[in-house]
Amino acid sequence: MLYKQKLIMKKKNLISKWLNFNLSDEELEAFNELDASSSYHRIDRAAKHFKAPDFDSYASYENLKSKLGSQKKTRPLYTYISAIAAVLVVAFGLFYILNTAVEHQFLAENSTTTEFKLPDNSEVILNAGSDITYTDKDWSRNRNLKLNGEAFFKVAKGEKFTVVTQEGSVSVLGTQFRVNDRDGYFEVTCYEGLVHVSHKGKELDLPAGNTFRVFGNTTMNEETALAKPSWLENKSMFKSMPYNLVIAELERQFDVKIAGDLTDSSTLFTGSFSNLNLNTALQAITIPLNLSYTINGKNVVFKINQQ
Amino acid sequence: MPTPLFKNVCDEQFFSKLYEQYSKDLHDFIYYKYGESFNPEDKVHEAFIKLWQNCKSVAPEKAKSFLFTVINNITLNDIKHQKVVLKHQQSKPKHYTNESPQFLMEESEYLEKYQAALAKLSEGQRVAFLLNRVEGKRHKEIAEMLNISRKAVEKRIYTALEKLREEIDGI
Repeated sequence: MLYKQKLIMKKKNLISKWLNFNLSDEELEAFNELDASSSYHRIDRAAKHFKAPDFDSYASYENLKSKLGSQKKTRPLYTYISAIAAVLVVAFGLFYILNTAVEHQFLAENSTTTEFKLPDNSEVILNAGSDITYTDKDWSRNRNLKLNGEAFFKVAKGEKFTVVTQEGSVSVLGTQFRVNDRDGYFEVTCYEGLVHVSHKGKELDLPAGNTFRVFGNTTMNEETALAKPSWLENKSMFKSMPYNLVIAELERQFDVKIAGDLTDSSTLFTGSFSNLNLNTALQAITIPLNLSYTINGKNVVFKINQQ
Repeated sequence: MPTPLFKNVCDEQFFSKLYEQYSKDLHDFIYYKYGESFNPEDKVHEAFIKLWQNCKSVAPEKAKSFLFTVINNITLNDIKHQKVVLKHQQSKPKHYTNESPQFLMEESEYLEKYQAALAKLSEGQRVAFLLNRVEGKRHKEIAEMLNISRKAVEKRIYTALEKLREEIDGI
């Protein structure tokens, strides 16, 4: 009796080992000698017919982001200001102040970001290659700034806060948003509250979780699930962005100049790169377009890959 | 890029890495366990939304077990006496000259029996068996996903195999 039980145990172990991909050659031979082994093998082979449908985790994540975007987020990801709501992101704009009030200018050079506070404790973070000008006279009653480039604002509640750029202006009463205005590209993203955008005579209200973009003849109004700009975490992200603007952003982030076989500037690029490593960033934008690059100090040359 | 010090479920980058890492397994887990009628992808989203909502109170190393527990509960809530259907994919006609029409018909019958037998297994047996045979997962890995011991996984898969053999071969 004991012997028979032992045999059954041995058989069970062998089968379990086979199931766990853990058989030595000898053990495999022994397994194949079992009466039921051909049955087991067939069951194993046929199992693949019941495979779950393919799962595209990237596409699915995009889907999730839009679901999350519409969720009401009660937790501030930004720990800066507690009682205050709006953050303005200002796009490019040159703002010349005509009166004799003190004019302040802040700028972020290439490959840096700059943070500062306005007289009402509103906070501003400038992305690389951007600058802001404003006067502090009567600031609490007249909150206007001029922006060239890209910035993220957190605006203290108060009188109307306006950011003027070359392409358009943005005003808020208390929201968080980002404005990006570069070379004929204008983009406003509202993260919290409501933002009023004025662009080439066109006016619209942009609620939280939305982005408004214009470049060339294209106007887009879409949702975003991000709660703050990606560059605050050292990453540049792009969605259907004209390639020449992607290159320009990389140049600013790393303070380099790119030349060579540049793809037709109407190519739209979706992707991202880290602002912390030049090589990985260059790879991120060249590989998808079948380009290669060489670095020479502060100059980078792109070449189309020969096939 | 985030260093371990800043690994935080509320951080969007880390959160998206979690999605990249676990979404497929979560999807397959629900699919193999409960079939396709419960929209596994939706369940994956719901689980991650719950994680996001509770991100402050879930430690990064606990995120995986949180997700698997939550997704199972979400699906259980959804189940109301529905019959589990795992559709087997019809094998496309191949151009082998040595496969007779008889073999193909027999293969199709075989798969019908197989499908019926799979539906008869307990959920626990079925999900362990399919994760092992179809996805090639080791017993230890499955134990982590199902939150049971390795021995328990071994037992479930072995039992499933024997049950399938009996049903299909008609012994």
